[in-house]
Amino acid sequence: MGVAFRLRPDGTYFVRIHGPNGVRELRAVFDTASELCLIQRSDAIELGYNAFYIPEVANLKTKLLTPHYLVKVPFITISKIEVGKLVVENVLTAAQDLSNELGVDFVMGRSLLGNYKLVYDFPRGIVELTEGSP
Amino acid sequence: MEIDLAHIDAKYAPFWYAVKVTARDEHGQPTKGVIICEHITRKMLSQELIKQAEEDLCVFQALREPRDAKVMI
Repeated sequence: MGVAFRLRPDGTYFVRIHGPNGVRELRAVFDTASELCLIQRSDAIELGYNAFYIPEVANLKTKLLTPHYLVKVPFITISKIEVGKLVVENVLTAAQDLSNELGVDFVMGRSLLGNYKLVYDFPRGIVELTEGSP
Repeated sequence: MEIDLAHIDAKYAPFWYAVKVTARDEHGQPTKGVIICEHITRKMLSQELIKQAEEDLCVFQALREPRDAKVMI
């Protein structure tokens, strides 16, 4: 099973993120260096995940090392993610406050990509994602 | 009102939108949608979304091109 799709001019594409409260379709990018997927924290909360910093309900399980800092962030398991016709379940994901100006609300890291073969055709703006084999 | 999502950035920047997708391309990417709510900030869009019964929405900010800054993830 695999999918191919054309990237938007800014290099993003839409993925469908499922949660207890519904489905959000968010702009996403691939990042093969990220161990986990990353979601905009406000979207995670609106989808019904425990992505709070409030001490009583905090879910600060994951240290996140970025190019600029080391922070603790909520760590959630997204029940289902659709990338085109590809469906992936139970994806470990960090929830972080991303800049609202970034134009990206979901980063697809190796907690999802780990089982797939990724082909990136930059000149044509085409990405192919297929199930890989060891 | 149904809008073309492929060309939304230039026309609608810099607002945030929650859109009900009405059409997709052959790869499942959204191509058209109906605006459910919009706001200049993401935080205020969230407040609007609380009032919505619709549970399956495409949420994004329409971005100006070229951007004012280079993007790094």
